[in-house]
Amino acid sequence: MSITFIILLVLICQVWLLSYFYPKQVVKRINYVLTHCPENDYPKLYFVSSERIITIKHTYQILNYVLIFIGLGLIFYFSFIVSDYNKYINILDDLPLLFGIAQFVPLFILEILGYKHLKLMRQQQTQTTRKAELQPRHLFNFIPRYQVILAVLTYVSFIIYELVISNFTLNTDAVIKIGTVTMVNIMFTAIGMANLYGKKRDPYQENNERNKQTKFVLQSLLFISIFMTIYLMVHSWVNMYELNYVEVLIDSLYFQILALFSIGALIGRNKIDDMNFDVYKADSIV
Amino acid sequence: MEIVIEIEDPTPLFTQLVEQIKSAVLEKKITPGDALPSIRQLANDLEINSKTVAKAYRLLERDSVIQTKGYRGTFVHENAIENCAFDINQWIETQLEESILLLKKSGATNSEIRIAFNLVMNNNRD
Repeated sequence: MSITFIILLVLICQVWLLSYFYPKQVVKRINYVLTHCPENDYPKLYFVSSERIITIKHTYQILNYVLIFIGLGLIFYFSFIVSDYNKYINILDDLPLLFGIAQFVPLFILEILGYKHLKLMRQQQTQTTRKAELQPRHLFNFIPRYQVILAVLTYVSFIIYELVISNFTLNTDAVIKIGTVTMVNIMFTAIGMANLYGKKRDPYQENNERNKQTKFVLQSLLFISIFMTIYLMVHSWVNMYELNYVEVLIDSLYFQILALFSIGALIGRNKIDDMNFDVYKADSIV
Repeated sequence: MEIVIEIEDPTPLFTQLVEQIKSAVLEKKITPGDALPSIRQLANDLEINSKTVAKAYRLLERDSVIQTKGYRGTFVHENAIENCAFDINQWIETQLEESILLLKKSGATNSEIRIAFNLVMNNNRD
């Protein structure tokens, strides 16, 4: 089996997963809300009209179709027009990484719009009754202690590993990698703290729904942190032995696993039909 | 266990908090030794100023309904149930009534008592 064939197979999987399978699940969730929670019965859910939401949904679908088209085009090009991996090594090396970033763009747009929607929801909130749980929220109520220890150990191992392979000279590449992982971990900690102790983003959300969401966010952040650190360790190892074709594979697998931990986990664990939408009804009191 | 506050209610927010926590203790919805949320968490959840929650916690701690154990957090006091029954406002009224009766028996007038009361209060400002 040629290297090019394996790379193309992994790329097909990346296109299918990130631009077809998961977007389809996201669209299913949007459709579920539009069908089961109509604007007239659930006014607190609609701060933009349902027509606008449908337009956003269509734009999201079109963006993903365009990405599928580009992805399949690239696969076709490298399968039938180019067959020599070594000849196009530079293009193929960066392809999964650049295409992977592009594949996450529609989801980022959806996230930003969702954030704006919740902000609008908070601004227009008129209810004067406020509820709170009389129980403290601690990190270990949501994620097991061993997982946090594992994340810390992975981070420490990564720093030691980078130092060892750079012969304790701390070259630019090692500094950038250690700096990136540290910054990302600080950012993840801040996001985690905001989810644990911060204000509710959705003012109508019930406490048990919030706890479910907090658990999901914390676990996703933790897994992404561990996985990203391992990815960079493997990356350093691959660079050391100049195994470019393996780099292409791990870049592609990185994006696929990233999608699995983020969108995949959201869809799989936060089932939409388990969510309580009654809080968005006109007469509901949260 | 949830607490509910009403923003538009004329009762001050910190009083609502104190009353609800005391009710929760009396109804055994929270028991001695149970951990309570941090000031920041409760203020964020209720979307009120953290100073309001801090004031409520201070009053509850004064009444020995809750106790703060440094970095470990805030807990329901071991004698919280007995201490909740104690009404400090009622106690102040009783003490003042007894003192005023004694002063009046000694021949002090209402205005003399009022002036002396204000003086003492002004001298003992926090």
